[in-house]
Amino acid sequence: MSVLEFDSVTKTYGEKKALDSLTFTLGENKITGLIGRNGAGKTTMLKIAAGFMSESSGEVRVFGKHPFNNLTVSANLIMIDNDMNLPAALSLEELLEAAANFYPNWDMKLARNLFDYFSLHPKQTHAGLSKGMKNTFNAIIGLAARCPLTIFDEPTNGMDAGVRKDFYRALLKDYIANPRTIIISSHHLNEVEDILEDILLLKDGKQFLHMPVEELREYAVVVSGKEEAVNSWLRGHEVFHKSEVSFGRTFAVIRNDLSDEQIAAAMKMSLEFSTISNEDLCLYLTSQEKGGIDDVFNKG
Amino acid sequence: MSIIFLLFMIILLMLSFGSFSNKFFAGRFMSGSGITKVFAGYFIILLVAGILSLMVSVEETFKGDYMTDKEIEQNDRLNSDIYATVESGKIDEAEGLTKKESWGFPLEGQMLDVTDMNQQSQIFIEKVNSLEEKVEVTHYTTYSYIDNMDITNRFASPDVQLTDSTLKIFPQDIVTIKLVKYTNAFPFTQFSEYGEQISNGYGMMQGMDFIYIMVPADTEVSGDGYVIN
Amino acid sequence: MMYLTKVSLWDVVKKQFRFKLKSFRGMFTSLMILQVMALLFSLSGEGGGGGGTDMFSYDMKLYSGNIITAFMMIWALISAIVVTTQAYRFDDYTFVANRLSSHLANILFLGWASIIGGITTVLASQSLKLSVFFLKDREFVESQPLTVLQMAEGLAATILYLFLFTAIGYLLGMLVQRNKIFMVIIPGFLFGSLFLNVLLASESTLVIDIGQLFVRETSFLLFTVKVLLTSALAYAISAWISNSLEVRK
Repeated sequence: MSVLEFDSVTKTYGEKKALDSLTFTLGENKITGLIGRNGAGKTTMLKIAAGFMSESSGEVRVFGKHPFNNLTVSANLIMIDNDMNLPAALSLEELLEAAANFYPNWDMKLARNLFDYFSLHPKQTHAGLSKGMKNTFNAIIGLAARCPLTIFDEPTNGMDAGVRKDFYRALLKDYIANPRTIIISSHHLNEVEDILEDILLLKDGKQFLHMPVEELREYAVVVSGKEEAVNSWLRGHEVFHKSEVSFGRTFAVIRNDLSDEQIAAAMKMSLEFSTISNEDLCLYLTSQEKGGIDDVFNKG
Repeated sequence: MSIIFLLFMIILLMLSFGSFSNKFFAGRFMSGSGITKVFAGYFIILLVAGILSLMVSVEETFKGDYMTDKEIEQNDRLNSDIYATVESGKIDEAEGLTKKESWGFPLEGQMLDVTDMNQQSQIFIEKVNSLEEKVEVTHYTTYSYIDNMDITNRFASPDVQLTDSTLKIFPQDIVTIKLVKYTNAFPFTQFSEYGEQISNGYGMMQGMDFIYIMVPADTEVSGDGYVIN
Repeated sequence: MMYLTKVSLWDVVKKQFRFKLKSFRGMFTSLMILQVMALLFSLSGEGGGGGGTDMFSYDMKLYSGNIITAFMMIWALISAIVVTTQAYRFDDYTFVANRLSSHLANILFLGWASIIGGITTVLASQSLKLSVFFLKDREFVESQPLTVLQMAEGLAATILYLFLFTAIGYLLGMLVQRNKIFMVIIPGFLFGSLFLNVLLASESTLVIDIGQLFVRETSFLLFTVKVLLTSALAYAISAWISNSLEVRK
């Protein structure tokens, strides 16, 4: 049974399509990274999945049910994001107790241990926390709730580097002990890459890629060399990105589906192959045009 | 005045709800867990005051009956022709009169001089056959009320004395009533029992005083007062 | 096969209600502030009268629990509006909720607040009576001594009035959440109606006519039915118009 299923889901805000016939399926007990640029529709997709918003068209299924206004979905799903609303009247400790009351799988011991570890104070209020601390607290709730579907939308915003590492480590440990379906959206693929199993890449409200992280590593390759040589060799290849470096040299990111002859041809033209980090790859994959910020300046 | 009051109200509302919706106004001192204790304390104070108010008020409140609107209307109707009834000597038939006090004096001789030092009362004198060597004086009043409260018995009868053949009617004491009235809020007065309305809308009414003097038939009466026959 | 938690609506409503008891406790701060203010206002008296003749003078000061009750009605109305604002509505969806459970928990909470509000209003009025009672050199008059039954009816009626006002506030709040244009329409309608009433000195405008429907009712039973029906209607409309409202936009 699929935990999360989107079938040609479209969400429009006025004229703009935030999601454009998005279709994908998430299986059980996997950690999926949701990657995409700002405005790619990540948050919209997650909010629809969480039942906070309703889709304009298409079909959404969470645990096989339509999430909007569904109590079972709400009870088995938690979404942690930056603008989580927590009542200012309650202290952090009371908030933990309130959450414990709502979620049957709630692990109070884990929550308290993390709470102490991250030096939060029980009498503080959520509104009085710094942005990073707020997100740390939200993340604790997300972890301790142990919901079958746990969604983190940019969970590490504002956290300092040490806390980010700790959080992801805690997430992984808890996931191994209590497997569940987790979606993490992040700008920083580098950070989360190690704990992800699948990656879902959104671009302009559409699914661009959905594959295991391992496959993504093999997905593309960088070829670089003299501009003319690269340009002539590239004909007929799927080019994700191309840019000039300097001294007449160019590099291009291409689909890693080369035949031996193609590689041999490249060698002959003294082109070099290298690998690319997933984060950079995703950036190139989702850039609006071939080129990048450099082009803005080059076009003068 | 009312505009100032309105502005004041708005500021007050903003202040009091600012503490409630403190997502917009920083500070939690008014909605933190401490508030529950403060509120409990407030509640207990109110409860004690409420119980006290129930205990005390039973005994020491203003003594007086309440007249319903109907009774007051009826009383007003009777008042309008009571003077004529009394003037014609039919005091026994007059309705709505309260007999307050009566005096009896032995009368020597056949002269009676009535001196009225009391501007309030109407004096009537009737010569009757049934009396001999005796004067009977009776003080009647009609109902007095303030806002439906019967205060008839607040007014004392005047002092009446007979020396030699002079009947003196002294002024009544000045009556001063200072009241403080508490009305329950409208949800309490809305469902009045038995459907009797007490509207408190009748203001004040001071009753008429009649000093009714009966003398033997052969007495010569002089001085103040209206002799009926 | 993954294990899914099954929840019943009523279970969630109860949990949310308990949650709201804490998260809305600031409402009771405003209750206290307003009630103490109302008490102070009331202590200056609601007027009085006097008069007399040559041999008789009287002077009366009037006090009543009306100001306190009116203040609490405003409190109920505004509290319910505050409950419908985004910040408070979204609180629910941090944890387990759907729109129906959120409304039901809000109604339960506002009912609870009405009860607390009603009881404290009556007690505060009694405190006013007590303090008036100790005014020197004046005789105390209770305009209408109440029987126990009347006392109970009055308390229940106060609570019902407050509940009615929470229902109205909730509806107004939801209308505004639905479409911001109501933020202009509702006060315009309300004040317009009141101004018309004052300017044209006409006894009858819609707002007042509707009010009379409740204030003029002398049968407690009918009053209860009217209030409960109206409140239920207002809450139902609120739930209906907000059913498609999105959260955490």
